[in-house]
Amino acid sequence: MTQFWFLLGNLLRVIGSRSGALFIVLILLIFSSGALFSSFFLLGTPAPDDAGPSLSADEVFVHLSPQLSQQKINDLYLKIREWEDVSQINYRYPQELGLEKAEGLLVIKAVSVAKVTELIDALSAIDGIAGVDSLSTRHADSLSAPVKIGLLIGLALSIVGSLIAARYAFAELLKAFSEEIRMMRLAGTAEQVIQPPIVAIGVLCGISAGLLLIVAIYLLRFLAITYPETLLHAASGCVNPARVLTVSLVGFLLGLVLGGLAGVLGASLTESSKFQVYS
Amino acid sequence: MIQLSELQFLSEDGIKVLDDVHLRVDRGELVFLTGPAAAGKTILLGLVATQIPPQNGQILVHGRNIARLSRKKAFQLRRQIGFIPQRFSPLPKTVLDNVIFKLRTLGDFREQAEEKALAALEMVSLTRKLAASATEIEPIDRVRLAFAVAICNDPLLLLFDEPFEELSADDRSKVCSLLEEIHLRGFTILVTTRNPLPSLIEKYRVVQLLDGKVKEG
Repeated sequence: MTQFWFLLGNLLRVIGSRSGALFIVLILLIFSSGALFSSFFLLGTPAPDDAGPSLSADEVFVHLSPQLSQQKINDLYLKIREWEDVSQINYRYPQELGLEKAEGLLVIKAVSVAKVTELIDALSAIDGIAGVDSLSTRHADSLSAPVKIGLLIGLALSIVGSLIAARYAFAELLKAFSEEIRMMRLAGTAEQVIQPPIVAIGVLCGISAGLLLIVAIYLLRFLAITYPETLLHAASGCVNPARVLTVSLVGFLLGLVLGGLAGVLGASLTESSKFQVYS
Repeated sequence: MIQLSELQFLSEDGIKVLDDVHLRVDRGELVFLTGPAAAGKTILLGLVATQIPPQNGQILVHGRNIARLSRKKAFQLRRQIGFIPQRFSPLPKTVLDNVIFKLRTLGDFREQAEEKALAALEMVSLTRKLAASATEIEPIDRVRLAFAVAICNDPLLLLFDEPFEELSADDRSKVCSLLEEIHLRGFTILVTTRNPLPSLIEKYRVVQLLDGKVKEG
């Protein structure tokens, strides 16, 4: 391990302005790949016609069980009305909302968009509630086919772009480190010692891009919740914190994998004749 | 220590560089390999140093047949060979850090590497320039540094390719004295050179590489 950290430190020290700029491009391209991937799960407008009556970001529709008596519905109404996260609650007949159902429903308005998820969790735990409907639960598959194709093409291009940028960034870095590599080859330093720190540089780029992606996703969620009227309908997946967390983690992993691949590509460049003692 | 038998080497364009070379260098010997430019001295050294893959013939170094070594064993053997190629270019670091770099990449910790590096630099009389930038030192000091890098991990065999190149007559003589000092410490050394040898080295064994073959004397 001592050799790994020593060489990693030496590699980081030889990053110059040109290779540094290329590594920033690499990080941004990996970030783009992660962002395009995340878009599939976070962007999009819910389709009210398919999923039910239109509702705003801070609204929750509570579908009541047909077995509930009027008395129990009244009790439930009064109980929920007292909750801190609820700003308004109304009983609606299905016909009012154009639903072909016998049972009625409660339309609850949360005090803020950020409280919707907690409200859904609390409501789901109550007996007599057949289902809960909100913007976040309707998000699935809300992107149109042309948008999906565009995102897929963008994702493929950014992955290819990342690998091309990695090729140039590592070539530039290794040019500045070529004498060190030759000296190691002369000394009998094994390839298993020379290559891992180079792979680690790629992994570091992937980690940077992944962290950037997490910040961007949570920033988008914050903005979507703060300005629901302008943003939430375009990024309805951001309402659900579990979805945001999962997408962030998977996006981070994607960044890590792409960074690792970039590093492996970079390490393979050391096999080139330029870095041999006799070329 | 080194045993070459029926060694042949063809260049990429099919020219016979080495043709039936036989050479034996015993433990503790200092041998000069001379010959004109492009005689194949560098190729021969590269083969012995396991830096060039062998083609035909047998190369035994320290009793091990180079052609049959696995990649891992070849790396292990390289660690026992202090090899300085032609026109050694130091790293853009201080003199001390150049030697430390090699030792650290071979697995030594900082303190251990520093101790060994200082000992090697002392052996080649370069301790006065420890903090100097290695790329800016005089040619003679560059050779001293190359020797220090080669000997710092106490290898069994030293291979120096053209250490006298681009040196003045006075500096060549100093390098010869340095080689003698290193040799007296028990190292086995094979040196290639095409420059006229100063009188000092006449007491050592000289072999000539001419037309792809080795001739004694």
